Amino acid sequence: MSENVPADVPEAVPSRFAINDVWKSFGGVAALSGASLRLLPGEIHALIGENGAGKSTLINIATGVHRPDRGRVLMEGREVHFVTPGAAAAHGVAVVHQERNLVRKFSLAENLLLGRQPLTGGVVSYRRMADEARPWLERVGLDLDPLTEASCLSPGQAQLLEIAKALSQRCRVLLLDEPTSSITDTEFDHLRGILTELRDAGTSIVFVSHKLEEVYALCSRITVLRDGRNVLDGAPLSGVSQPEIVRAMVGRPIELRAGGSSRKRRAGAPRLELCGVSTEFGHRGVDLTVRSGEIIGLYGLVGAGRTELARCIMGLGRITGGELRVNGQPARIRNPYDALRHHRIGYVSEDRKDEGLIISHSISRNVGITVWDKVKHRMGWISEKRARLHVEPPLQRLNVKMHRLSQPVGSLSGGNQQKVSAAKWIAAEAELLIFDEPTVGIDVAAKDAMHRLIVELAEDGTGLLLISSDLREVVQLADRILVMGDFRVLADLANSGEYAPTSELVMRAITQATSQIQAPAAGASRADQSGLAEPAGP
Amino acid sequence: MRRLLSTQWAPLLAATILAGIVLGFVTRQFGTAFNIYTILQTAAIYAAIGLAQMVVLAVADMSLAVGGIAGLVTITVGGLYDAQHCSVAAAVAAGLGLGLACGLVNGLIIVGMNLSGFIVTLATGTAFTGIAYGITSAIPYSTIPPALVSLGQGRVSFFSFLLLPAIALTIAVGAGFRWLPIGRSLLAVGGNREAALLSGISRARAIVVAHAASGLLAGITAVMYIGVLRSATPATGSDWLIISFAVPIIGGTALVGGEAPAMGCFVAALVLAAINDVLIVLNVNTEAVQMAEGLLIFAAVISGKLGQRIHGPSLMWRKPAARGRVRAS
Repeated sequence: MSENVPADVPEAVPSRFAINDVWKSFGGVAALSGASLRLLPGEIHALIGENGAGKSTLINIATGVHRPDRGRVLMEGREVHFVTPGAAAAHGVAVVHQERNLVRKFSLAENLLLGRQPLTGGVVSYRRMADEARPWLERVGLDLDPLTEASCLSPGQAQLLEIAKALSQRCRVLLLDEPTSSITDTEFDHLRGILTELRDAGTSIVFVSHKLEEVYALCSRITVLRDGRNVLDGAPLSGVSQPEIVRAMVGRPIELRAGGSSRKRRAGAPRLELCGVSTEFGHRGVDLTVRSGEIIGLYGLVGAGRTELARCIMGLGRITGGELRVNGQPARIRNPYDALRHHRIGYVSEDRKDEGLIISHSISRNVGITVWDKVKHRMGWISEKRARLHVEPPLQRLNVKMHRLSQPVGSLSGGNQQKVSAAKWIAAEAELLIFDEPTVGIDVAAKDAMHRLIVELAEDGTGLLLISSDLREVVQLADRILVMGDFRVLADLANSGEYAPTSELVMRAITQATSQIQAPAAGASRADQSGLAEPAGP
Repeated sequence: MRRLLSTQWAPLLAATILAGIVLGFVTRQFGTAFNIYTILQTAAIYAAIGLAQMVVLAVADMSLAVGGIAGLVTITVGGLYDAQHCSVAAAVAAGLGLGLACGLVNGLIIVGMNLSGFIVTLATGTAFTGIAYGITSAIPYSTIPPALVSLGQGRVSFFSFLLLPAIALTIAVGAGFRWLPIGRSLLAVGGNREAALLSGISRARAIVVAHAASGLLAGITAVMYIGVLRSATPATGSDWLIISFAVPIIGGTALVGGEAPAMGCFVAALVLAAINDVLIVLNVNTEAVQMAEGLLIFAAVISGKLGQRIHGPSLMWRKPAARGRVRAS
């Protein structure tokens, strides 16, 4: 628990903004029990913790969404009470949330100035709105007409828009809640430039991220939360090593798993084969084989066509040429139901909130969806009791942190939600599972559990297709790595499990392919455009 | 002009005008000034009903009380004029005030008790209708202010006087959503509740304002309708429910909120009124008219763009090409 005067903060420099010994509980469940966060002027401060450690609650208190049960919030040494998000903004506290908080039908400019649109004679002036928004959009590198509808933005661009919005509020304290979970490397470099500039101008920045490399690249001090308390309270990052941070977060050391080769491999018969497949999305000549007990990593830049390929396998997109074989037999998969029921193929979606889970339903119902056909009575109704037999084992196996099965999925942390979304397919006894970015936006411990699960599933004989933009993850887990770019398979590499040489091979495959495509000879199909635009960045 | 043609209702309007011209040649009855006047009279009422629903749909809520409020306002205006011998102006003012108050009550209950508009207005709408019938013992007031009759029945050739308030309402509502801060707030709340909240826009205020505006619009519609019917009956509004949704939906309003195309509402009202009339002119029975309205709603929903809005983007897989196009621009 934290003391009133932290040892780490030199007393000569008073805090710009401080949350001191704050307590907060929701319906009897403690989210924060004495957490603190103290920011100096002109620093980038990392806020780290597992999902469910209380980071979000702390941010919500800082921004006036929640009020603390106990404890104080200080701005420049004076106590402040934020009763609404507006009050926090008025004190110069701005936040960029993890969820995209945009009104899709409004223009970029209006989203930026939402709630404070410029008025001329009591009437909203769109011209002034565009003029006021333009410099902020340019500042973050969004080179678009300010009156473009926000629904046109990619996730990365949407993130930049939100940062522009925070900047436009001329904040003294800027909270970034996992700003990098959905943006590309070029976009991150750009963001880093902006943040450094802001820091030098005296803004206090809180950077919440699970990517420790980024934390080291950006931040000077670190606060780590575990179970609603401080484990580290503003410690200088230079004195903390990466394993120490991880240990602080989870309370136990996590060994980084050796490469895929250490797993006992029993690659069996081919579960899924694609031969020269082309699709309506623009894939062409895709060859891919996933054997039982094998993990195939599908790596590529955003926009390479990996998710689209997975969707075509699941019957969510049309296969226009070539052959798809399941267990050696040519198959035509019409929809995901067909995929699961007749071919035992499951898909753990990248977008767990919209596609993977029914947030308001209970855990047991979410997991049970895939087994309803199995557990229904002859008359067609579903027995909760029988469903439970299928539902409980995978949840236990994944060690989902929950109070009871009837708890709504929405009340779980992100990592646990992802586990539930995976448990669903395990309950269905899928023989081939496609994991699409399974560890985006989840914490180190949940990531570790997810990795262990993937390995275990492979050992049990499931074929796994792992789509991931995290090359380390792919090298760590996969038996073979397929590099995808521009809706084609660029390379099919055996994975040695050693990061340096493998990553070099992968990167070479991508860069060579890109330079080939950039030659004017390439037919500019629609797919080409989307594949190329992404790595270029804004 | 290009913006005008690219709006969702433009093809609908064009098709309707074209069909009208064709019908004008086919049946002599359709093209007469009187028949067109009838269509426009109905359209004016439909448009006003649609707007009353649209303002609530804009905040991603709904009101089942539009008809109930209209019934109550109708007998209030009729009763004050006929039984209490108030002046027209006083009776109308009292009626509109009551409409506003009813809507306000709906909004306050929804916000205060944190219930959905569906539940609250289902209850209050039914109650309003019950009160209207109770007060009048189901007997309509038949002495109607002449001013309202000339508003409801008046015309110059095909131009129904009712179009004047209908057009005025359409412009007022459309402009309010486009240019007034409160209109933008309503759309922001309807478009993304969280985003609006974090920008300091009060959802509670938006809901209350939307329902109050809906009540006022329902009241205005009731006043317009008294002259059309030449009677102030508590039955007014009892058959408005379907129309109140059909008009904004066909006009391009998203059920998930965040949009309020007032002009689309007006065009949809014209289309529905015209279809209604055509089927009557062609001697098709009323059940078929209803069926046609149903099919039209369906057609509007499945017609590409709108379908996407109602289901939201997540159900419809966004093809990568769409992203690429934007980036290229």
